[in-house]
Amino acid sequence: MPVTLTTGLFQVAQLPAAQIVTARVYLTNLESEPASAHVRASRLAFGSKREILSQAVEVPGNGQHIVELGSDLVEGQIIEVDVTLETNGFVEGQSGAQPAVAVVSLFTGDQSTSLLQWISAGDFVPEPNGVV
Amino acid sequence: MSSIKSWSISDSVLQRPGSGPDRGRGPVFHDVRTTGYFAAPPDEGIPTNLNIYLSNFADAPRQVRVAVNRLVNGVGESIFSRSLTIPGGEGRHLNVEDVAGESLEVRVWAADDVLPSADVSYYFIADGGIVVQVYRSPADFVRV
Repeated sequence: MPVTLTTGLFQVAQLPAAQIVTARVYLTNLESEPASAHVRASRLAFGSKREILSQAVEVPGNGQHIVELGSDLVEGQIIEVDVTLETNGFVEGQSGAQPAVAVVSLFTGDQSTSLLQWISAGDFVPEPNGVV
Repeated sequence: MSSIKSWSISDSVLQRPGSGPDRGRGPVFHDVRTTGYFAAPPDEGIPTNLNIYLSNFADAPRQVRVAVNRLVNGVGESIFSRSLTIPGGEGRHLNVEDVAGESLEVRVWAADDVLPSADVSYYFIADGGIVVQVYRSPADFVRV
């Protein structure tokens, strides 16, 4: 039985032009078997949540997969990230794969990156009326 | 002390369900979820606002009530109160200005399929910059 976890809505930073802000969705597989997941992201626009990403991914055993949301999609926007994971025998609402989100900035001057905001696995909650 | 703009609408909005002249006919509000008190960044001359986000995961409209308190000499003082209806599948963003240096609490009354979240952010007017300073996820709201 899959579980869909969500960040709820959150603001993505907006910085001057020399700094590019993106959001990275990390999927970490804590088990040895590959895990499938589905990542969706929505942007709040005039009250409506408009989908900006829908992607099925395969996370290698004991590995990690990163889905990057580009600056053009998220910088300065209010977004929501939903991740659907297989529970594979875990109690309801849990999974061997864990999501997280990092909002990062890239300074084009020297290509350095900075972490602006971290949304941990513990910040995700089961999506009410969760759907696959 | 930063200036606080009071957004309270009216006392009737702040009444508990079942009380007042609209007893039995007013909107039904659910258990309250709260962030507890948390500190907004100190006043550094940068516009600092509290943002509250509400995401309705139901297919139907949901009524929501939001209140924000600040701590003054150990006592909670209301600085914001709003009741709204969120259409199914939609979200809303509420904004409370000038909260730098305050200890804030966000309370939300809503059905389980509405998820609240919040942040305190700096706004750089000159270049439109937004920097999130404090973040409260849906998991940071607890029922009381």
